[in-house]
Amino acid sequence: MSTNPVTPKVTVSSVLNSLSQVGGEIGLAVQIGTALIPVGKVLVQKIKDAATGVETTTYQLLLTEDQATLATVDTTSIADLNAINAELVRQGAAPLPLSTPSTPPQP
Amino acid sequence: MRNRKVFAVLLLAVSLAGCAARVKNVTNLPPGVTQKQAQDWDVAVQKLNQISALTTSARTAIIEVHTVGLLKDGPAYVAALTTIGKVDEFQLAASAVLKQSPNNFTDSTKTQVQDYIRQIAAQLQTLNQTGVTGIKNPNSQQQIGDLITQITNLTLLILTL
Repeated sequence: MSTNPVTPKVTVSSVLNSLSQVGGEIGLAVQIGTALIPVGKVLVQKIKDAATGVETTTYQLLLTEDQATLATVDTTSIADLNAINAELVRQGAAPLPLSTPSTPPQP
Repeated sequence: MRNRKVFAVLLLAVSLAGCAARVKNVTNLPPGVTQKQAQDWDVAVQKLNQISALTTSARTAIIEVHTVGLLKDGPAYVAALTTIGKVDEFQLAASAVLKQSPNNFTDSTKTQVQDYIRQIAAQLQTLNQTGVTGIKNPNSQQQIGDLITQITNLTLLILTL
């Protein structure tokens, strides 16, 4: 009696999970003639599925990238407020405060 | 020439709005943080960023429309500027709450963010009803109106998380 071997299903998520749990690195090298010249190693933290476009990322990288995005939101909003206040002053109107609203807004 | 500049700003805004953030798979979640919490937090951050970019486009377009004389000095211009400035203030407030997340992106934190987003939507409604009406050129009025609609649609995506 023979049995067919069962191949475990490998997904992008499972690969990234495995790599990140062990601090997985991928080595990069350039082949010149018969010699393989190492150029570095990278820690895998994000994989994008080219077919579906779905991105798989580690929690740590998500935090880093999204905190940077929020910093951009702050910078953009403050730049807007500065430009708006300059116009308001030109119009003889009171400028808006640069601080965030101190009281929770009413729903 | 200046009308072209206004059009370019609006075109950029349309292309930014088209960059919808996809939901990501998140690995290595710390204990107590669910996949949905991390994904919701990420979507809220991405959408807030798009709202912020579009608000900048709206601010630039309104100042430009004023510069070319299509929106005169006076209450309508001041109202439009003030309304957009308030949107910026609520963006900053929502950003401050999101910075504490996602490890505590609980229902109450989410509600807090959504309250600020509702305030943004309310300001946009005011802008649509009052500020834009001061613009003398129907095309510019329509284009800025479209921009407001796009921002409003993004706010709805955060409100449905």
